[in-house]
Order: sequence, then structure tokens, then C-alpha cells
Amino acid sequence: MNEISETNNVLVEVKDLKVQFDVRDGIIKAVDGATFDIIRGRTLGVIGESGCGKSVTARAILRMVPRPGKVTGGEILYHRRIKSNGSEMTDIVRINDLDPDGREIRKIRGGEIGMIFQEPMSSLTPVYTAGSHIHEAVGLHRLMPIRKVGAQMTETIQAHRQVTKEEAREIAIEMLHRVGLPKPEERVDSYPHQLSGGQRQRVMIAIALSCQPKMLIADEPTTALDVSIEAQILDIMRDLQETVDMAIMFITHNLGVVAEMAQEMVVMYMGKVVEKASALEIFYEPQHPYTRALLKSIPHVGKKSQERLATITGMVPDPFNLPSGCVFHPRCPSFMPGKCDRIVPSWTQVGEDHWARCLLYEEV
Amino acid sequence: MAERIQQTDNILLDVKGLKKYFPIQKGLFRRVAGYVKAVDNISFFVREGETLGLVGESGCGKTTASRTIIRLYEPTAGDIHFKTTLFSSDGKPQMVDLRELDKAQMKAIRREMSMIFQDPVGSLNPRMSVFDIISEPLVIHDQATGAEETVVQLLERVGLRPEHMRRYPHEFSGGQRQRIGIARALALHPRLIFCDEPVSALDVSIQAQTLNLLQDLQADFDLAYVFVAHDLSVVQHISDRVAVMYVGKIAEMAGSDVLYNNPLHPYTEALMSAVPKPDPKYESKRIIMPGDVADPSNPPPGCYFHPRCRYAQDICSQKEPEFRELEPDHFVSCHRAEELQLSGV
Amino acid sequence: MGIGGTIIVLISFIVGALFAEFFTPYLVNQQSDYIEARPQWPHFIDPNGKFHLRPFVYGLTEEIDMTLHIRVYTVDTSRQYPIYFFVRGAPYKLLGLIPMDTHIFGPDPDDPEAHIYIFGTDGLGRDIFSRIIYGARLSLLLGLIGQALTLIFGATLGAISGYYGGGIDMFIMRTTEFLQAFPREPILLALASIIPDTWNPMWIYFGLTILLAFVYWGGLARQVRGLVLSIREREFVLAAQSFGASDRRLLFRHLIPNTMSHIIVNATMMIPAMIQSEAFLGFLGLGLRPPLTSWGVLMNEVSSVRAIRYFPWLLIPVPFILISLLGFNMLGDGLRDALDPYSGR
Repeated sequence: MNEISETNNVLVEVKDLKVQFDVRDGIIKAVDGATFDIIRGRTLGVIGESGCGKSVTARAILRMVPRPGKVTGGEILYHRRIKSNGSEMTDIVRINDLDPDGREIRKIRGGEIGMIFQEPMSSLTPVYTAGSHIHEAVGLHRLMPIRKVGAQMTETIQAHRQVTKEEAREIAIEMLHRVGLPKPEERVDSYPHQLSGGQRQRVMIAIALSCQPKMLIADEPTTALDVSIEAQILDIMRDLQETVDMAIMFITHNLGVVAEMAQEMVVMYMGKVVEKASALEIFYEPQHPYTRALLKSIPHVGKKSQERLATITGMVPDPFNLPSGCVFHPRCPSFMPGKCDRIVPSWTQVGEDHWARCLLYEEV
Repeated sequence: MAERIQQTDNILLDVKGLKKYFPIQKGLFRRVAGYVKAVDNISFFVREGETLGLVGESGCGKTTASRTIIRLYEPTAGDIHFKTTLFSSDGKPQMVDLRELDKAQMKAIRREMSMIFQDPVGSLNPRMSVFDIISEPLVIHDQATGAEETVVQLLERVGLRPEHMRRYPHEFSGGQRQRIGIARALALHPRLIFCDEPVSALDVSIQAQTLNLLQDLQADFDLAYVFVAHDLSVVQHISDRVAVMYVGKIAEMAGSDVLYNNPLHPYTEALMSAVPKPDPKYESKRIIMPGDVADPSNPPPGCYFHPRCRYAQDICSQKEPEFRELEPDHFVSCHRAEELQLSGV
Repeated sequence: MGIGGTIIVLISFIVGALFAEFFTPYLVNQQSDYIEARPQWPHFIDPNGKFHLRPFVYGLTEEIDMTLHIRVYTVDTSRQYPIYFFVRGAPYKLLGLIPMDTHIFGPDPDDPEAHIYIFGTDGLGRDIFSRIIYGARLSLLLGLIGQALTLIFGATLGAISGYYGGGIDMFIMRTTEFLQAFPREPILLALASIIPDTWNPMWIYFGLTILLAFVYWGGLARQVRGLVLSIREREFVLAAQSFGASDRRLLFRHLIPNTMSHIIVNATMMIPAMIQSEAFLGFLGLGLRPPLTSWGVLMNEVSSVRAIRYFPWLLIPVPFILISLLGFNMLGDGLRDALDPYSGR
């Protein structure tokens, strides 16, 4: 692989993204200033607990924030590489300016940036309506129950690639084989309900990848699956990433999975990115108190301890009643009275390519 | 079949040959076309005050097993012995076969065994107040006098406040609802609690709080737990002994440390290697099990795991392996257990 | 309209029906010489342009149209009958108990010529407006009682079916399927025509309620069964079972309260069907008959082309029926939203 400088290899830049939801009881700042980059061919892990805004961020990248949410600030820049006159140029597409139902974004969705989800049942939050999921099904190749798998795949492939129907079917079978489905020539003619959860997830990946996207957004793709199937799928994703040079934005709350998959990581809490660094640094030198507490609270296989797990005191705050100053301060073991409850911390560099949002590192 | 081990004195629950088959009904007249062998001849025991982890992937029967033992489902076969003083004339504890109890006796036994469920939303009746929910076991067993005081104590013990009594489940978060479920399970001072995936639906930080709570309660009340889960790291953390289940059978059962560092069953080995470790430096030497988990209504012949096992030999597809005690307190059902050198975590 | 508005409308209908004698200028069977007279609209401005605070109606003059052989009434502006409020009129017993003779509005009691027929009269010279309000009494009551019967019968059978399963379930479900296989209107007709003409009207009324319940219980039973089946598997039910709850407790404390909101909503939404069925039967001359007065009976009077063509005001009951149908539907919708604790935050 050539050593191209980092900036040339940026695929998507997210700058100070803000997304808010206007609900009956008030305004929820689902994402409040998220900044990170996604690099070609590498995996960015986005970690956080429920309500931290990681899923909303991912959807914003594809202009798919469901109502009543809307992007209220920031930019999302997609660096599209095009060949013109024999040389490669980079065209910067401002995604936040695109019409959410327009042709431009629909070309990108699936064709250039793909997305796979968890099975929808367990991750619905009250702000997502059922309608938006159907919309997604149509727009992002979710599996519709009444059509054969193969038909849905070929339709998607043909929408994004210039191939005939027969070629599309061949590609579909090849992709099913690559994701490890046995007897792909038979599977391509089966209906979704005839497949198990793990198989369906693999088909979803196959669909997403059959359009050869430059980037894959994976939102909790293995959370509902058994460990042995999860292992297979993670392997497939890494494998494909290498062969196709695809970037992955991997969203999960599972620290084990993200440690395995991601090279860079971003930690989110209550809509804010609180820390950003390489995966190694996050795990070995976490700087933000939330990150540290999170890492201490997971049990580790192989290290049996009779001791109690370290916990984060208190509870996630009410989104309509956020604490003043740093939003984590009521639960923070390093709370500094007079500072953390009054001043909102800003994004500070704490190391080489390591950033955190914490007053411990800020000169105030 | 498991043989009794030396320390029999403090065995609280002893299960032998437990089976639970669900008939598959097809056709207009619901003929029985086959069986889903959800639990297929398992044997294990739990000592007083200890935690036995039941771990396995979907369809392995761990949830069905615990529900069958507590007789929410009727066992198809097997013995379930439980140590209790309820029926002995001299107040000494005796092992009672739960399948031989009549309705009234079984109801009495239910005071000593309770269950915590997985779904924080579905496990509490949305139309009952927290007070009603926690005091229901007391009411059912005619111990309703002084219920309010008991409920207050229980709420405080699980980290909630007395004024929460008057509220309804939908006013609480997932973690708090689980605590309410735990308080309910403690109401009658049981000796054994079946924890059916109690933390799977919770966020990581809440998980930690809940696990700590369960451990504290175990110490305070000398409780035994059967802890059912699919998350291996959680199970290892909280369990003294662990049984790994696969398609209705126990593949391996041993002390927690022993199992994780020194597995004897290929499935255990593969499962451990499949768990993602929260350490980016860790080089995954993952053993991939090809294919999907076997179908409990149509399991493979011989050893259920053989199609996915990389050590399989002819005998594995012909004969079902016996569940035997290979080392003290280390049980395994594999034909090749003696010869294989497997790596732990 | 919102649930507030709906409730107001429905309550006014019900109050009006209960105290119909007070709210109407004439008694329900009070005949007059003005046969099939056209409606008299209230005016405030007289032919001379003078404004009167008290509204009035113009008198009617009867003429016979020799070619069509019908009576035709023309407006006679020379005679004006003011509308008096809280006026003395025909005596009655409020709620069957309290003797009164005050009506909320009506013609001058001392003027034998005065007549106020806001919606016109029917073939026996009876005031349509009064009959509509009276008719509401029986029609709405029929809907409510019929639905209550359906509820008790259908919900109980449905709950038993869902809870016990097996043979009982099959029997009940096959019965409902059998009944539901018949198209609704013909079955209503067939059963209604079985009710003998010679019966006492009150018996006919009861017969009709039972008939309606008989036709409609199947749908409710199936819904309740489905609900019970789904709720039975919820973990809070299992939890109660695990503590030894009796069947009775499970049904009445857990299953039924959680189906209650659905049942009430569905029952409310089925009331319109009952009202409609009664109107339909009445239109055809079945079901309730004179001397009882219901909206169905009123519809019967419009069942000839002659009536519709020459006396179209006989159709005025129709919008009242429609409003009550709409009203109950919207009430059901509103109830559904209000009763679900987990819907929308």
C-alpha cells in the first residue's frame, strides 16, 4: 500500500455536527458537536451507550435522520474520487446541503456509502417512527419479507452498477458465497423468513457490499447475533475491507468488538464526542473520565476477579434537563467543583492525534 | 449421567437427566410431527451460596432448562431434587423430588426458588404499581401483613427509594426496572434464584451496577444463583462454576477458572476464542465454527456438535458421547476429551 | 374534533335521549292533523323587516294536490307562531317518575292553532324532531346494552379460549369461524324475521339485543383470544406463575387488566355497528316496530320512494345516526391513545 498522506485519504469529514429532535416535551440535542474523520480503507469505531447519539450521527451522514429530527449545524463532507481526463481528482460533496430525497444522495446511498443495521426490534427509540424504517427498507435495501433474496439483490446491484440482470445475479451469488452462506446458488432464491437471523445479517452485508461502496456504516451489526456467528461476520467484514479497500464506520456498545475491528475510535456521551484517538490509545491510555470508567466496568474473559466491577455512579441525565457545564460532571470521579459545573469543556488536543473534551486538560 | 462428587452435604439443587421436549404440531388436526428437544438429558448441581453459570448460544436450551426446573414448563423426564426443610417433621433439611410434589407442596417450594427475567419492559406488569409488583409474592403466599415495611426494606436494599413504591414501571429506566424485578425475587427470602439473562438488555455501565448488586445480595442473603446468559465474560465474572450448553445438552461443566483456562470440549474452546476481547493488542486466534448452530428439532446424529467440530472423527457422527467426570468437578461430553489438547482463553 | 368535542357531543345525545320528553316540544306519539307537513324553520325577521328577539315560525296551510294525490303544505306568512322556551306543554313523567309538563321549547300553550314542527311531521302528524330525540333513547341504548352483552359473552369466551387452549379453544374458535362465515346483513335479516310480530315490544327489544350480541360476539372473542395468547407469554405473567399464582389470579390480576384497554376500545368501536344494524333492520321493517320508536323505526318511514320524493325531511334522522356513529368511533380512537401507557412520550 502506498503511504499517502492522511489528508488525501480522508473519505468523509464530519465537522461539528449538530442534530436536534423537536418532540412534544421539548428539544433533544441528539448530537451536539461531533467532529471526526473517516479514512479510506480503515475502520473508525464509534462507541457509546444508549442515547449517546451514535446512530443518529450515522444516519446524518446519509441524510437519513428520521423526523422529527433535523440537522441544525455542522458539515458533512464526502471526498469523492473521480477519474477525469485520465487523472484522479477529488470532488468534495457537501452532504448536508443535499436534498434528503434527491437523486444525488440516493446515488450515494448504497452505491458509494452503504449501511447495515441491527435487526430493528431491539434498538427502536421512541423518536423513530415505523414509517422511517419502511422508508429505509426501500432506500437502503433492507430485506422485504415477501420477495426473494435474489430478486432484491439484483435490483439493488442494477441500481448502482451497469450490469445486466444475469450478471447481477452472478454477482449476487458470488457475494453470498463471500459472506459465508452455504449453497449460495440455492439461497439466492429463498425468502428472508427461511433464513436464520445470522444468515439474514450476512445477506444484508452481501447486499451492502455488492454495490462496492467506498464506505460501510455498520450500526450494531452483530449485537443480536450469537458469538460464533458474530465472529464469522467480523472476519468477513475485515476480509472484505482488505480486498476492496473499504472504510468502515463501526458503531457499537460492545468494547470487545470495537477493539477488534477499529483502528481509530470515537467515544460519545449524550450527543457529544468526548474522546477521539487510535484504538490502542483509547484502551491503554484513556484520558476522558467517562472512557476510563467505561473501560473499568466491563468484565474481562480470562481475568477472573471476585471483586466488584467498577461502576459509573448515577444515571444518564434526562435529555430535557441536562446538567450545566460539562454534561458528565454529576457522575465524574474527577469532578472539579466550580469548574466542571460551570464551564462547557471544548475539544482539546491531549496527545498526538488524541483529543478529549474535558476540563482536566484545558486551560481555563 | 453425573456421579455424585464428594461434597454432597451442601448441594442445594440436583438435576439428573432433565428433558424438555416440545411437540411440533402440524396439519389440520395438530398431529405431532416431531419434537423440539429444547433440553435433552442434562444433569448438574448447584451448591448453597454458589453461582452456577449456564452459558450457550441461541437455542441451546438454557432458558428452557431454568424454566423447567422451576416448573413453569412441565419436565418431559428427569429428576429434580431440591434441599428444603419445608416438609421434614424434624426440621432437618432433606432432598425432595420436585416432580413428586402435589400442587400445594409445589407452591410452598416456590417460596424458596424465584426467578429474575431478562426483559425490563416485559417482566413487570405495566398496570401494577411497584408496591403491588414487589408484594405480589407475599400476597400469593398469605404473608401480606406488614407488606409495606417489607417492600420498603427491599427497595432500599436494591438501591431504590421508598417513594418509588407508588409509581408505575414505565416511569423507570431499564436498570431500575431490573432492580424492581430483583426486589420482587427476594421478597420471600428464597435460597435459589434463577437469573435469566438479567443484564443482557442493559447498557454496559448499568450492567456493572446490576452485577455488583447481585453479588452483594448473594453475600448478604447466602443465595445460590443459576445465572443464565450468553455473554461469556459476564458469566465468568459472576459464576463459581459454569456449564456450557449446546442444543439442549451440556457440553462441559467445570469451575469458572478451570473452564476458561483449560477447556476440554472443542465447543468451549471455539466459543472462548470467538469472544471479542476488549484489547486492541490481542491477536485473535479465532477458531471459526463453520455453519450455523444445529437445529434442536433435527439435530445431527451422534455428537450434536460434530459437523462444526474441527477435531471430529468417525465415532463422533455415530455415537452420542457420554457426559462424564473427567477430572474432579470437571464434566465433559466428548469422545476425544482425553486426547485433545485444547487452548483456553 | 378532538376527544373533548366528541365526548361533549355524545353526552349531549345521551342526555337528550334520557330526558327526551323535556327537550322536545311534542310527545313521541302525539298525533296531529298536519300530516307529512314540511319543516318550519325559525325566523327572526318578519315579512315587514322587523327583528324579533323571540324566534318564530310561519304557519302552514294545507292544500291537496289533485294530480299527485298528496297533501302539500305552503308557508303562510300571515300567521306567526313565536317559539316559547320552558313552556307548558303535554304532560309527561320525567324518567318515568316525576310528573312534569314543561318543555324546553314549544308553541304557545294557549293558542290551539299554534304548531312548531322544526323538522316537519310524519304520516301520522307526529313531530319528527321529537321522534328523533326519542328514537335516540332506544337506538343508543340498544347499542350500549347490545355491546355490553357482546362484551361479557365474547370477552369471557375469548379469554377462556386463549387461556386454556386445547379442545375448548378449538371448539370456540370453530364456532366463531362458522358464524363469521355468513355475511352479516343476511344473518341479521334471517334472525330478525324470526322474532314474532305478536310479541310485546319490550320482548322484541330484548330479542333484538340478544340477536345483535349473537352476531357480533365472534369478532370480539377472537380479538380477546389473540390478546390473551400474546400476553400470556409475557414475562410478567411467567413471573407471577413462578411465584405460584393461581389461575384466577393470573386471569384477573394480570391477563384481563392488560387486555382491558384493548377490549374497551374495540367494544366502543363496535357500538356504531350495532346502531347501524338496528337502523338497517328498522328500515326494512324488522327489528323494532311501532309503537316503539327508534331510529330504525324512523328509517322505516322513509322506506318508500314516495316518501323520499315528496317528503324528504323524513330523512333528517340520517345525519343524527351518522354523527353518533362517528362520535363512538372517535371516542374509541381517543380511548386507545389515552389508555396505552407506553405510547408516545
